[in-house]
Amino acid sequence: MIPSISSLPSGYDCLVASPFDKVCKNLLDGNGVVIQKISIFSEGKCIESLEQNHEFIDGDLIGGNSQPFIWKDQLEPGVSGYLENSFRIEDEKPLFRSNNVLPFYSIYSKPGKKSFFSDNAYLYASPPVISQIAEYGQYIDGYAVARVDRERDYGESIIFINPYRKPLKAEIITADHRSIERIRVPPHSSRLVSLKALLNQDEIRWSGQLQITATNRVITFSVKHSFCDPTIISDHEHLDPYRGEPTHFPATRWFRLRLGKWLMRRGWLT
Amino acid sequence: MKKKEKKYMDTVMSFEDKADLSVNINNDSNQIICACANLKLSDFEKTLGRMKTQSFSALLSETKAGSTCTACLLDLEYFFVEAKSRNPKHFNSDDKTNNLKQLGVIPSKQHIYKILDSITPPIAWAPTNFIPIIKGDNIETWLTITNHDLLFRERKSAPITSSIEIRATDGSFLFKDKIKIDLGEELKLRLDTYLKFESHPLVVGAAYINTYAKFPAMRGTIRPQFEILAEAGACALHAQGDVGPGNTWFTIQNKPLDQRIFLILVNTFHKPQSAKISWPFELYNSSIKTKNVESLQLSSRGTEIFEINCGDALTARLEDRPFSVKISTERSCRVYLLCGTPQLNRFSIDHR
Repeated sequence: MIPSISSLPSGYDCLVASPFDKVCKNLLDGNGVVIQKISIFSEGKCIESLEQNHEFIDGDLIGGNSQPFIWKDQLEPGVSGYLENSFRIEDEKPLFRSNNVLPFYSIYSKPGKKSFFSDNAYLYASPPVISQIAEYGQYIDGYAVARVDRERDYGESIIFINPYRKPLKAEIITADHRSIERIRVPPHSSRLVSLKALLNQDEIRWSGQLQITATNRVITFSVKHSFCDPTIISDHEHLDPYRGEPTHFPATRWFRLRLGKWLMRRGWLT
Repeated sequence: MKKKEKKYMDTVMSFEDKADLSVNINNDSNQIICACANLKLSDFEKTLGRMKTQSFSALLSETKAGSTCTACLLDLEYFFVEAKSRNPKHFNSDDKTNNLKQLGVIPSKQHIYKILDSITPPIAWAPTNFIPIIKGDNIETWLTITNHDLLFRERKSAPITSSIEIRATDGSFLFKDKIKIDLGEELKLRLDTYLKFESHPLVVGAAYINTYAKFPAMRGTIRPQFEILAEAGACALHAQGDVGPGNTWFTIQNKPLDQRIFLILVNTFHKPQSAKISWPFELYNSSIKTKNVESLQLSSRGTEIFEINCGDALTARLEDRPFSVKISTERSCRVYLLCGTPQLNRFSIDHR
């Protein structure tokens, strides 16, 4: 299955409760030995790695679920990292129905702070990115609800994760022509870029659409935090790439989709 | 071209020139698609055909492509998906659908669909998207819809019209409007002002949004987004479409000193329904058998908020171990997890 990436922002522990029920449903007949590998990367290095075998027989996980993986915040203040989580079958047997990433939330917490939740991203082969590349031949990420406000203490940063072996350059450009240039993310590293650089010196607030482009695929998240203290995080979300899907469908396909929705709302189609 | 627009395009072009962002998708079979592995497109496709694999990573392992400098991974993803879509029979899977495909059952059905789809006119596909609205002391909920082409030089977006309905907790109708959003424009609409403030610390409602493009184009950036702006922090999430009935699960931690956890249920069905909320389901080596079970009545198209309160005894037993909450609904329903500070001055919101 395609490995997934979860961000590890500085100042928070991260709890990863892998969805073993979904792993099991993804096995063709509910049988197989699945090897899970979790690796933590920061500043170009793999700083922790864990491999576990999970045996499924007739749809049951033998021995029950294992403990969740907990990353205890131990990076230098201001240094972030990322977690790579992968599932593969022993001996690479083709036993999975699909290689899609299994979506799950990681829980980020720290005593004295409110938790927040965030989903995982595809290491590669993300469907919206593929449709974007197929349609445009170009990769551009976007986010419509970026907001910084000195007065209300609303800060925001973009996390750039480069899980690949080549360094990358990125740039943030807003729809009203502001920009943050020369963002460099070394291989196997993560960078937090504060959007306060979009504000002019005497400007109190800005909100709007931003767009991100880079010399290679980059995994991005938005982090909404205190303007004064970026280690107090309220929210952590994925961005939204420009969608290469059509706004219209042929009438017959439109009808099939409507019928499918009608059945789904009543529980007659899953 | 206006001066401002020209400056913008110059910025875009200079960056693109520097960075060579575009992906060459001219399918010349002799082109090298991974310079490190000296791999040609034709060899890539041959290997793909021979392996009959659904796994992109297996293909990369076999060809050694994309694993040295990784710069070509994005191109390889494209070629992988394109080759699969051109010749799906080549890629094995033991599931029923593919067995039927091999027997020629589905292709004939798809063939008929393809013919029908090619002769019928296009219709705008605008399924309803839902947004929960939260109102409280110094809490605002904002809707944002943008219609930008971003850095793409070739315009593929279209002007859109968004139909917006706002409904109260009991599902009653509060507001309806159709708003046009031209290319390059943004809609920002404050939603919470339509709700009546009551004694409960948080009052909820929902917005129903359908977005129609004026002519066939690409969806681009038009997915509605919403923000919850509170006294000490902001959070945001994109809108979602409908889901069927069944169980929704969230995994949370009980930390009453640091946070309060709420569930927001938006009944997207046109009839009333009841929802059952049960917790805690411990993930690992469960020792707590007794479950709290609460029933929630949802009006037709109504929205309810429910706080997960573990109480002192359960809090002592759970400590900070993660546990799951199950929400069972009879009909289509959107469920959100709202996590706030004890003072309700900062939030995050998530969905399943």
